[in-house]
Amino acid sequence: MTLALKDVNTYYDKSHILQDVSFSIQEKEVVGLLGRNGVGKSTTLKSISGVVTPRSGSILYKGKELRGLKPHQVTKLGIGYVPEERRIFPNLTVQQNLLIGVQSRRARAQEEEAWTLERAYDLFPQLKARQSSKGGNLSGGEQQMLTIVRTLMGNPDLLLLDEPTEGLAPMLVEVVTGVIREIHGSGISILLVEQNFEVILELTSRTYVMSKGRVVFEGTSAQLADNHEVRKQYLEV
Amino acid sequence: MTHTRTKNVLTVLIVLAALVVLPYLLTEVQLNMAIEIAFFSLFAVSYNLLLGYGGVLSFGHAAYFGTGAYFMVFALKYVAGMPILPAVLVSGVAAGLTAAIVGFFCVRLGGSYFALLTLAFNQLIYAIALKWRSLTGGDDGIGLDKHDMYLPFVGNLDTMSTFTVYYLTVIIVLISLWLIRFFLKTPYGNTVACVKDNEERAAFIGYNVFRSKLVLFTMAGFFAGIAGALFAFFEEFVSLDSINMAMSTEVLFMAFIGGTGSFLGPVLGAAVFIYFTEWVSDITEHWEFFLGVLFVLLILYANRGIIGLIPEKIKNFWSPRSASAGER
Amino acid sequence: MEAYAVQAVHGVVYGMLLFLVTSGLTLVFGMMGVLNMAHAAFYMVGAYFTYSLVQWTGSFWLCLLLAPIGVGIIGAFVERALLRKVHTFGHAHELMLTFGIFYILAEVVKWIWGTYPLTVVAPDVLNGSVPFLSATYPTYRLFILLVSVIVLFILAFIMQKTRIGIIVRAAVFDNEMVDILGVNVQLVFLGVFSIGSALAGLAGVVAAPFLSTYPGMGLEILVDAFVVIVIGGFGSVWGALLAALMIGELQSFGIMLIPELALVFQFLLMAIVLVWRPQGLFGESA
Repeated sequence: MTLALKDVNTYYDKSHILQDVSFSIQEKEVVGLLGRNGVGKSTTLKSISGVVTPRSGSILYKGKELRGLKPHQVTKLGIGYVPEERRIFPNLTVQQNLLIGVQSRRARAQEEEAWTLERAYDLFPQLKARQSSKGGNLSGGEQQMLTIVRTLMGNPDLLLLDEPTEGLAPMLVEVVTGVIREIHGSGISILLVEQNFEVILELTSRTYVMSKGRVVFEGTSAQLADNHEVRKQYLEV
Repeated sequence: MTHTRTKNVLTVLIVLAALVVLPYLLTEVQLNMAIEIAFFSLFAVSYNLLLGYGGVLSFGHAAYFGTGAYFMVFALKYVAGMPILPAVLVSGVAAGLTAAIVGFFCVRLGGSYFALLTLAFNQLIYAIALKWRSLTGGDDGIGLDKHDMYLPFVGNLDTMSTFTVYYLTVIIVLISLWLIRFFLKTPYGNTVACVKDNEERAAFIGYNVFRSKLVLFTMAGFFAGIAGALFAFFEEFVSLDSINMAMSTEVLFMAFIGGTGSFLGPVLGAAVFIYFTEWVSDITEHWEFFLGVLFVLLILYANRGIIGLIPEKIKNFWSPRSASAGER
Repeated sequence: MEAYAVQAVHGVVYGMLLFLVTSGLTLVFGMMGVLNMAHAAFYMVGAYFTYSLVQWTGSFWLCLLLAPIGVGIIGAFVERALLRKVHTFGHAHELMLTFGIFYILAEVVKWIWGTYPLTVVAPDVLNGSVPFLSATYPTYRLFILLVSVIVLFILAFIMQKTRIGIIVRAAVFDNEMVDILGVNVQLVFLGVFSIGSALAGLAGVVAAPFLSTYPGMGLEILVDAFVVIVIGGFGSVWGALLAALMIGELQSFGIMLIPELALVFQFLLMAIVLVWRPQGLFGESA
């Protein structure tokens, strides 16, 4: 088991956002996390990455407790978090944006498969063409690529992706889906938060569904596709 | 409810009675301290309109205190037969107008910008007072020409007497405090004072944040000016000390040390401050160092000020319902 | 005509000194969102350290290195032990805290060194003058200019070309995201604050022989630095440079032409900028 959450409770001030959330991810697995807006999916990712600190419960990553760690400590352990709002640095160039993500001390960075600027540019010629442009001048799709690649520069073993296809045109959704598959192919586990059910079915093997701060369904993605009741109650608008 | 009300009325009566008999119990030196505490209380409460209610930090409140003080002198000096009470009012209006002009530049910008601008404008007004020698006396300061005061039904009062100055100061301060309190309780005053808590929402519902901040700033300036006029009347002399950065610092210390979360916190702060400076300056000439340390310690460990350190039980006795309502 | 040229150079010199003071202030503000009022006290402490170090060691050159380090250490302590504690209370508390530190340091300075102005004598090499047009110009003023320009270039190089500079610029925009990407932002804050303090200290060192060293020097430079920041725009190094030069020239010519109003000019300029561009000449938003 790579990552295991057990009875995680997270609060914003007095509102109880995550209520006894438990789930796990195996090595090299792509797991989907679904649910309507405001059910705690993003908060789950934030709790794992250390952006918010859960009040109770445990988050074990390769046997290490993550609860209470700072975001940079979590990142150094090999978890890459790509937040929903993209948050590229508009005042820096594409290349500088990528440089911030570099974690040269991680073991994976020494491997042959490691992500480097060259490899990133090979895979995304678009970013190479715009390497000297300011991040703020990129299109929405390019920004989404940049934010994912920037996190990959840290050579994570586990990637937390928060709605990577949100707001993108159908063609770009295809591209992003392809990229995620490629990342998975290079041996990285992925926890994918998505609203787009098609993308979930295409990429993930297992899924968890959340509602009002709790996990209400877990199963293979195929099971979820067949379970009309769960889909109707928790996912469809 | 009625029980509380009776107790409140009783408290007010006791305080008033105490203020009336106080001069007969104190020595001359102590009475002078009481007068200082009175006008500095008003100054600190006016400052707390900005810090406590407006949520903005000003480093330039002496500008209005000083403007009030200088105008008190001007009014009595240049207008023949100017009665004292209207002179106080004129000083307040002059300070309020100055505040309105400065506020026009400052209140649109929040946070650090506001702090920095208030300091810069304080220095500007200071520079004017320093350079306009013919009017202000520059470094030398300027004396206040006192004359007797006539009140209907009472007759002429000897303004050289500390007793008269005491009663005059206390009465004007009490009326001013009551006016401020009254304003804050009106629906408009209430919204003005609430802008701090939810500026975005206030703007969203079409509320004019700029105007209400300007109103608050002008009002703070007006009452600082009144306090300054009383200061001038008490000292019978006004110098650059009334308008410099040190004075702006002192009022911040008074308000914060007392407690910015409640209406009367700054009054307590003014009293502690005056007492502290008298007492500690007897012991060490470096009393300002210890004052700074006290200030920093309060920021770090008790940011509701001294009033926040008073046990709830004692506060509950005085006003059970609002024991914690005024504080964040 | 020549008098004007000399006055213009005076303006540049004072402007660059002002820039030296403001650069650290904007650096810290841009990154941490804290307007550090203690900065002016750090500047003053730098000048007083110089006075004492020159007395002990006899070497002004040593001060250029040691005084900024000493002030930087004080800065590190302030950030780590005090400022970080009040961060969660909001910016008004941070401001009040830095002001409280300013106040305490000013009192400490009076306590240790007294209230009389002290004189720091520059090394002989810098005390002379060099030919300038048909007359001469004091070498020391040119030295101030040299130090400021060197600092400017080093800062620009670090900010533009090094990874740490890029991280600082990214953190100005979104420090949490920088943390998420694996950089210990708290540590970067500590470093930036210390370096900002050290820069204030350095400005104090070079100012010591030039302006007199007295307890009010902190407040005096603080007000000028604030005016520079308002005009240049918060957090903008280039804005600070331009505004510092403008204020330098304005004061220089103001004192020469209309001495009574010289003090008022910079505030007028500030008011005009505020009405016309509230975010400052180079500021992105207020």
